[in-house]
Amino acid sequence: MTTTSWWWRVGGAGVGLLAAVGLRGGSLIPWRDRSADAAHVRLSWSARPERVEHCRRLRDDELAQLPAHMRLRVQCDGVLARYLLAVRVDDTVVASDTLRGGGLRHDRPIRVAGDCATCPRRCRIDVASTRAHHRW
Amino acid sequence: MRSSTERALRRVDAVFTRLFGWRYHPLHQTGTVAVALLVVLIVTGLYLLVFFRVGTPWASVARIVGDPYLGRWMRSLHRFASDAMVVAVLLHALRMFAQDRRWGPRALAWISGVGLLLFVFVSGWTGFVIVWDEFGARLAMAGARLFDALPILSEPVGRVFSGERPIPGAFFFVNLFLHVAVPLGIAAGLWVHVSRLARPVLLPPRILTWVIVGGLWALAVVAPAPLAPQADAFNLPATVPVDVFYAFWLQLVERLPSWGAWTGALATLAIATAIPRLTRRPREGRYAPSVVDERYCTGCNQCPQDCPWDAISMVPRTDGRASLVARVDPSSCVSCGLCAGSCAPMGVGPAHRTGRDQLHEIRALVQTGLQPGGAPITALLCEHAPDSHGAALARAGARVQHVSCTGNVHTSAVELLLRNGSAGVIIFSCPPRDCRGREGPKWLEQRLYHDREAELQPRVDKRRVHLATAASGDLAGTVGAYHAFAHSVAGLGSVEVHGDLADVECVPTPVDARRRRR
Repeated sequence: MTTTSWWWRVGGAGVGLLAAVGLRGGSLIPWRDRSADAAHVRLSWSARPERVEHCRRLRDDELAQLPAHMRLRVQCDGVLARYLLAVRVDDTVVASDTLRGGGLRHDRPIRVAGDCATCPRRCRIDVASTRAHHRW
Repeated sequence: MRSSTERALRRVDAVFTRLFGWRYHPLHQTGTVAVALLVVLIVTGLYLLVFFRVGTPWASVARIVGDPYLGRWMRSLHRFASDAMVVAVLLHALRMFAQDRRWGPRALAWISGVGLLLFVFVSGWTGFVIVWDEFGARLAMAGARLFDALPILSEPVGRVFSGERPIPGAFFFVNLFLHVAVPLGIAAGLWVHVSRLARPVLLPPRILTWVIVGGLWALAVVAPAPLAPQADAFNLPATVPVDVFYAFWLQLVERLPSWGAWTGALATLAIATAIPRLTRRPREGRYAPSVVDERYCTGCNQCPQDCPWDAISMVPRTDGRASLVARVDPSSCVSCGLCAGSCAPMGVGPAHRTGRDQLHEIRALVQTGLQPGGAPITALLCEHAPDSHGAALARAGARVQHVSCTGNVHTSAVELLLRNGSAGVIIFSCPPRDCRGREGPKWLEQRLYHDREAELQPRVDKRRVHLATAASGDLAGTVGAYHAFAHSVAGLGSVEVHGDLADVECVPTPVDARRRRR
């Protein structure tokens, strides 16, 4: 038998009440993480990356070394392009990224999905996606 | 030697004992409270499932909330019970950690518990997402960002929320499916969690269950959880009502790069699951598993019944005797020592804690001054009982003897104490729901008063034996129980135990050498 005084029992009820209040409060904490006039630019599109090819004409002696069924005068190696994404707000870059095709071999479509913060006023927003220079 | 976490836990326990009493001490049964809350979640969830519409998630929840008689508080009860469940599970883990109940045979329970907590978070996450209010959308986007960092999906999940087109019903269907399926996983995980226990206790005492459920229900009625505005891809709310129990990580994760969030989450998970390995103890001394002395084992099959961890089985003997013999599986034995108290011939138990060892200890105690006639009362105190209780009992005049668990106490040891001058024996156990050996007070009570095997012999005057509880924070209760017992014993006169002590201590059966060779 526990010897608990009346005051402790009242305290127990108080702790129970406090736990209930804590539960209610903790389940609905108003979380203010941006000012009311925040502005974001949402980027969302998909595109198939271009294939960049580097071709050259084979010399006669190079052709002769190949099996007959593989003798093509022009031989091309290719990769899928990468793009440089830049988001400018009034000529200030606020976000930049390198875009590559999806998948482990980057041979799937490029998909862009994301927000970037900007300023809540009239401004000029420039979103540019330019093909990255590919070094052979 | 108690760890700092255990000492801190003891102080908190003491306060809660004073507030709620040890019978309804909520911290002693955080695990069972979590299961009770899971039952509440399933019942209320089934109701909500009937009215939820995958095609119009927010509108259907708004309709539920608009029903003032049942829907509103059902949803709030579902919400508050899920929050309380996270608290209960975390407290349960903290308690098991502080009480050193996390390694060895308990490692499976610990690791499955980590998995269960993960399931609870996943279930809660999907539950918030399917409402599709501003908080749900925030959680969904954070999750999408994390998943998009993994090269496993052909298209970024984040694009679903860009606002280009309506969110497909399949997204909500998948989340709803997970929200229903993951709790089934929790039920399966719970089975694994308690699979090493012989008799798992899954629910708290009925009164505590109803107080908790009733309290949550009252909270749901008085202050129901409001529904946040519907998520809108083109509207960024400045303030989002966040459930901190499920989304305490959200603010941090949104600021970290995806790889950083994944690294942090995986590192936390790895550390949590490695705790049994990192904190394990050598299986020797206090932690040595029980062993069976086959010379004394009569094959009575009592110790396998009493073992709370199913660590003992009966196997055919190899010494030629007809009966079975007990065998302890060291990988399942947590060294609680309850088998020592359950074995009438005293043939099983951890090293130095068997019934025979107890008798030797008592004989040594007798030689150090326990005299017949006018002798003090012996108080056997669980070593997990607060130190202050032992000191207070000694001040009150008791001869205090510590035992590793009261469930270890062999009834013959009690009888021997009475035969050798103790006017009475009072045994102080931990609160039954807080026994490290799980069933120590239960089995001892049955051995003392209900003739469970290894019972206190009828020749012993049971009025001279008393089982009480020593709970942190209830020193007055402990001392009061001692004084009441001392008062009742004082009126009984001198101790008389008929019969011979040889009846108590089982004589080993000699093994036939010829049969043994065969």
